[in-house]
Formats: sequence, C-alpha cells, structure tokens
Amino acid sequence: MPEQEPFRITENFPIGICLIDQNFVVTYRNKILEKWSANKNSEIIGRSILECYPHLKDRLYLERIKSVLKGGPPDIFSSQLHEPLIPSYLPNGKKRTQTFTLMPYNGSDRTPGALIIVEDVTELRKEVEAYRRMKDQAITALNDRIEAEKEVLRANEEANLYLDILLHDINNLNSIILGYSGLLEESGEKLTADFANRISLAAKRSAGIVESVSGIRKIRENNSELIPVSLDKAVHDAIAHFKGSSIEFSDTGYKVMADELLSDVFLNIIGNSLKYGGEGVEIKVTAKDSGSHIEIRIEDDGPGIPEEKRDEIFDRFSRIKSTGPEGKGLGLYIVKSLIERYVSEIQVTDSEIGEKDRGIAFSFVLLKA
Amino acid sequence: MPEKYSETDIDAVREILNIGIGRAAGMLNRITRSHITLTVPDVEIISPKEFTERKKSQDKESLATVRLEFKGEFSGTTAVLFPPESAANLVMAITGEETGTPELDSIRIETLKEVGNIIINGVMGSVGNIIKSPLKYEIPAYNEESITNLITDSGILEEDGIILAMTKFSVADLDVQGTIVMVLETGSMDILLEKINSI
Repeated sequence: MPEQEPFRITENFPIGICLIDQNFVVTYRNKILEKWSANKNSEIIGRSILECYPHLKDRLYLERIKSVLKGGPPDIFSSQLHEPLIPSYLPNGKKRTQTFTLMPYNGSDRTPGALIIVEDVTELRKEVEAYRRMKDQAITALNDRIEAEKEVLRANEEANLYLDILLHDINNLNSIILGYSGLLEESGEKLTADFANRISLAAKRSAGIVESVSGIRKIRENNSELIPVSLDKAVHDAIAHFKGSSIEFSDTGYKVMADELLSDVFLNIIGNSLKYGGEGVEIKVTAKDSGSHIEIRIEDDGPGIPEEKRDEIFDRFSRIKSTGPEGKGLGLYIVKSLIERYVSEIQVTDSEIGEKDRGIAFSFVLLKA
Repeated sequence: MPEKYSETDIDAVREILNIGIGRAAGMLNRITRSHITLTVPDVEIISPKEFTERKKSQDKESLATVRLEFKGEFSGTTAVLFPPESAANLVMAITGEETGTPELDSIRIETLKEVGNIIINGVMGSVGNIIKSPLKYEIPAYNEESITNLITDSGILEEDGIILAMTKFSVADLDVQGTIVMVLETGSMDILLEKINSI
C-alpha cells in the first residue's frame, strides 16, 4: 500500500488529493476533497474507489485507471468529456465542474498506486461561459451593424440614382423652358415679354438649385486627400462666371491645400454678394501669407448682413428674407461645408470697403501647400 | 536525418507511432462516441542542428502544445502541437459544440489537454511496450509555444535525434493537422532502436 503519511502535507491544499493503491483501495483523501464530495473520509478511506463510485467500473474509466496503476503515463479526465471521477457538489446541491489528473505513484515500499489530483474549475467555467456569451453578443451586434451599414449604403445608392435622374431631367426641362421663354421675351408684346421674363427668372432659379444640390453632393462624395491647388486659378475660375461685374483681385502665386472644389467657395460668396448687392456692387478678394497659412478675405460694399443674422446665414436653406432677392440658401451652406473640409472655419465681419454700415467680409485661412 | 539512422530505423519508428496513434484514436472514439480517424502520414528523425537550420525561419508560430516529460532508461519529452484555431476547432468538433468562434479558452484548453494526453499516452504506451522498463513521468502540461522553443527547452545535445511526426485528425467534416514531437535525451534513440531490433 502506498504510504499516505507524506501526503498529510496536502491536507489543506486548495486542490483535491486522493491516493489509491494497486487494488483500487482509497488510502488517503485530503480535507478539501472531503468537503467537496458528499462523503466523509471515514466512509471512503479503506474502501475500493470502484465500490464507492460504481461508474468507474465502466471501461472508459477502468482501462485508463488500470494503466496508471501499472505505472503507465499520467492521464487526464476533463470536465467536458466526462462525468467527474469523484462527484462533488456545491452548497446549492449542483455538481462541481472538475478536472482529474491521475499520476502513477510508488511508495517507499515500491508498491504501485495512483495519485488523483482534483482541480475545481466551476468558477473558471462560469467565467468562460459568461465571456463566451458576451463575446457572442458583441459579434452579433457587430454583424447587425455591418448589415445596417450595408443597408444604408444600398439606400444611398438608390437615393443617388433618383437624384441623378431628377437633376438630369430637371436640367433638360429648364433648358427647354429658358429657350422658349427667351423667344417669348423677344415677341414684342409687352405683357407677354413681362410674363416670359418671370418664367425665365424662375427657370434660372431652378437651374441654380440643381447646381447647388450637385455641389453639395460632390462635397459629400469627395473623401479624397487635400492636394496643392493654385489659389489664383480657383479665384479666376469663379470670377469668369460674373463677366461685367466689378471684382478686384491681384494674382498671388500662392498654392494652398484644398481640392478642385475650391473655386466653388469663391463662386458662391461672390454670387451671394452680387445677388444681394446688385450689379453695381464692388467686390474685393485679397490673400495674405501668414507663415504656415494663407489668409483669404472676400468683401463687398453691398447692403451687409445684420450682426444678429450672421450666425444663421450658413445654415441650410437660410436666407436673409428682409434684404431682397429670393434664393434657396444653399450657397453659403456649400461654402461652410467646403471650408470645414479644408480644416478651417469661416468668419463673417464688417467690410472695409463699404461705407458706414454697408458691406460684409468673409474670411478664412487655408494651409499653405 | 543524421547519417546513423537508416530508412529501416525510420520505418520501425513510424510503425511504433502508428500503433500508438491507432490506440489513441480508439480511445477517443470511445470517449466521444464520434468517429475520429488519426493517421501519421509523415515521420522523420532529424538532429536538433538540422532542425534549427531547416525550420527556424518558418517556425515562429505559437502552437497549442500538450507535453509530457519522462525519465528513466529512455528519457525525453513527447508533445502534441496544434495551431490554436485548429485546436479550438478540433475540441469543438469532438465535444459537439455547434456555435461560437473557434477561440482556445480555458474550457477548451482543459479538453485539449486530455485529447493531447491521450495521443501522447498512445505513443508512450507503444514505446513502453518496446522499452519494457519503468519510466517516471511529470504532470502533463499545456503551453503555447513553437516547436523550436520546445526543442531548445529540452536542452538536448546536438548528436541526438528528434522524432517529428505529422498527425492528421478527421472528425466529422473537419480535418486538423497537428505535429507529434518526441525530443530524446542523449542515447535514448539508440536504446529505442536497439530494443526494436532485438524483437
């Protein structure tokens, strides 16, 4: 019989220790194992483990226990594949989850036996199961999100398709309306020409809206990196739309970090000045090198914008109702969106070229290329 | 292969491994009540030096490793190594887990330790029948390490042989490839071959 005395040291170990001899007789069990199992040590020690736990007579267990008792390699009985070798219970009566390792053991008298090491993995298992549930939930949530994003993408593509069709068809119709209203304006009849002129103005506004919507869409779709752009070219491209207007600008030779939409900033601000200031309004565009940035200022001598209204003018569909012409209020919204894209912000201040309270100035900085 | 080991030697080792693996497969089938086939398609005996030259560059991966050290007339370490995801898939197939991601968590590691140990025991049982002298075993251990690490850790000398064997598991529709490595201390390979030849 293997000596049990050396095992007394394991009495208070937090792992279960059980010793059996070559005849399967239990010769030692430590305290924790007695506490875990439903039996007192006095009921088990001295009896065959196969009698105490008859399920061990099953070939699945018996062959492997015998192999260890014969001095064969250690064996492991994991909790996922087996009923526990020695059933143990939690205070609430539920079975503990345990792993059993069988090691061959010879006492000092060389008689073979086996050492059964019992590790309690009940809490570990609970934690792993909770972690698995949490992980599975996270994966499900992530998959749901990916699906939702795909759906948004699909919806966007559909909306873009409708927008394409609308913009294209409205533009075509606007051209037809402008063509015929132009003919009617030249009809020689005052009333007809007057009505035709109103039709032409409405069609031009409609074309303006189409252009603004296309501009906003371009900004939203354009996620490319900022590139070096000629400031002079952007300003000149914008000025070219307003032939006959008084716009002062001197070439600077500056290059700034922006993109091909930069001229739309000038186009909309200048267009806004002309819309509210009328044909005689004077506009001045200046640029100044401030080291890492270029400071740009566009000002006019038009009617100006009351200070309390200056914060709202960049909102979508905002326009200064009391100051005359109608518009859809998309132009300055486009300007703000573009300036934000260029990692900057736009300021509205008093103009230096307008008399007294007249005029308005838009200023912003762009990173030097 | 070190020159002193002939094709006949390798064939004999392959045979011993096949017997052991066959026994392990039988045990796994009984435990899991599923049809698991285990084969050893490839066996080689190489020296640690040769191994280092040949494998080091491609042996960076940490593998799920169950290892058993033994001492006696025949001494060394036997280990079974799997890529972690394959190991998790193998455990999931064996235990019949149907859902979840193949991550090697503590519960699956516990099961893998038993599966790996059964394979090791199959091999060691087969070797033990040849050696016929008692061996002293350490407690089976689980680690995540590369084959190079395992060999370096065993600290064996240059002239000794390492038995490298590929194992192939098939469970249901799953095929998992693992490696059985037996790193032997000085003289152990000679003893094994001597005993084989004396049969």
